[in-house]
Amino acid sequence: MSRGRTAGVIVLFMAYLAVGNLLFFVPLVDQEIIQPWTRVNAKASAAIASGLGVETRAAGTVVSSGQAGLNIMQGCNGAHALLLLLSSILAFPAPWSRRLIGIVTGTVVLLGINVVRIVNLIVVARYFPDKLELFHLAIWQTLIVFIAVALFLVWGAFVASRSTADIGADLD
Amino acid sequence: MEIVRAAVAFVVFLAVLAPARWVGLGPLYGKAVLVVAQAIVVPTQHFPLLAKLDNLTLNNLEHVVILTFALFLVSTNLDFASRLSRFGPALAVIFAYHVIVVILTIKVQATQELLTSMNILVLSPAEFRVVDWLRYFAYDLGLEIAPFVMLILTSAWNLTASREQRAGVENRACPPRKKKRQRAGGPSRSGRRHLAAAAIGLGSLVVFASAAVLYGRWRETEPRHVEAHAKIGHLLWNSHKDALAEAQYRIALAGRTTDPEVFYNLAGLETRSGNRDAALRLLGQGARMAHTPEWRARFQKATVVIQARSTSP
Repeated sequence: MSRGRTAGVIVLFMAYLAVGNLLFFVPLVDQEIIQPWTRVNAKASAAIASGLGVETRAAGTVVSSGQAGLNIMQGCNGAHALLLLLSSILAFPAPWSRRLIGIVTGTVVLLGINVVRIVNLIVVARYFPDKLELFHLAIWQTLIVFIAVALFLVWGAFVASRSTADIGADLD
Repeated sequence: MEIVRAAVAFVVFLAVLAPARWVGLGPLYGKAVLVVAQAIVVPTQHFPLLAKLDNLTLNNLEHVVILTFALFLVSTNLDFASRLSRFGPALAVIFAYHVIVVILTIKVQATQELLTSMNILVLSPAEFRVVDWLRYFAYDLGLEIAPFVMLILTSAWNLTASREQRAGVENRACPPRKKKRQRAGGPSRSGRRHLAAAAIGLGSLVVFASAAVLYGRWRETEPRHVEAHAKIGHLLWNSHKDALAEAQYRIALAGRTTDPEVFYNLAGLETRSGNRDAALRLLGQGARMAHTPEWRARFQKATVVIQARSTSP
């Protein structure tokens, strides 16, 4: 990619991020998308944790297990990591069909992993409450970003391999 | 390969995190950021309210610094000098970005505190929304943006380095043909493109700066903003910081304040400086702004006292 094109990708990435961040502040988006999604996160996490033998209840965006209670807020619902991934996929020069594949796959994987994150945090909050901050803010916050980056790199490799295959087919 | 590199960096990050916490790197880094932010905020603040930035703690800023260090260690495709030339400026940018985060957080916190405790509106609702949005973008979302960007950058740097190495090996085996000599006279195509980019950048900067200056001027005449200057003047006056209070009163006066207390207190300062004519003029103006009998009586009494002093030998 030329230097000018790279700069264009970076500008687009930042623009998508800024627009996404702006959407978080729109009450309608918060009420109709973010909050319901966060409640789904809470319910799914509580169900999985209970299935694993850690009795957990969900009420709105709050999950509680024993004495421990967690309120799932913006950032812990996977919305930030998803915004980063979607912004990078949208900014990267690729055909729309491949972007769509990246967006759908990335969204499913990332949000699935976010449920695993919450289940893990429920277990830590219940049995190792003094380690909650470490897991919540240091490990998982970086790990979820790492997973978003890994998804982007895998998608990028997929796009590149398909492009090479397309060129090969054209030459044939 | 780059995913493996990122995974190793994550493991290194976790390994360094514990000793970093043990030596107190987080508070130390936070303090360094705060010192620089204080050196910028205190002398340049629009309302002179903050003398220190002691009571601000932003958690986890050091995580991206530790991650960058881990990425530096695992970037084996780059030689040491190349790593320094890439990760050094990256760390400087991260530090500067954290200073901006602190400044935005202070703005938001100070605005909320002044509004709830003293009913002083230092930022208009629209301005507050913009600053709060920026703070969220830089801090809440930024805690994830910064590691994301660093991981992507590291991958790109390592990939580019390995491609260059491969190209170098191929070139040695089969040297490329010499490029056509550039035509003489006039800038090249890329040169023209750079010139155009510089012109657009400079033009945008001029437009942005002009808009900021115009907005700043308009803001100083906006009634709610003028009222904020007057109220902060009162706050400083009651804390016996007369010079600072006078500066705020003068700004409020230039913005055509209708607060009688501004005129009254300024007249007091003028009297203390021996400027009785100026004091009488201010009392006259203030009397016209006074809408309550109490204020009218105060202005009348003060006028009489100053006039008596000026006529007595």
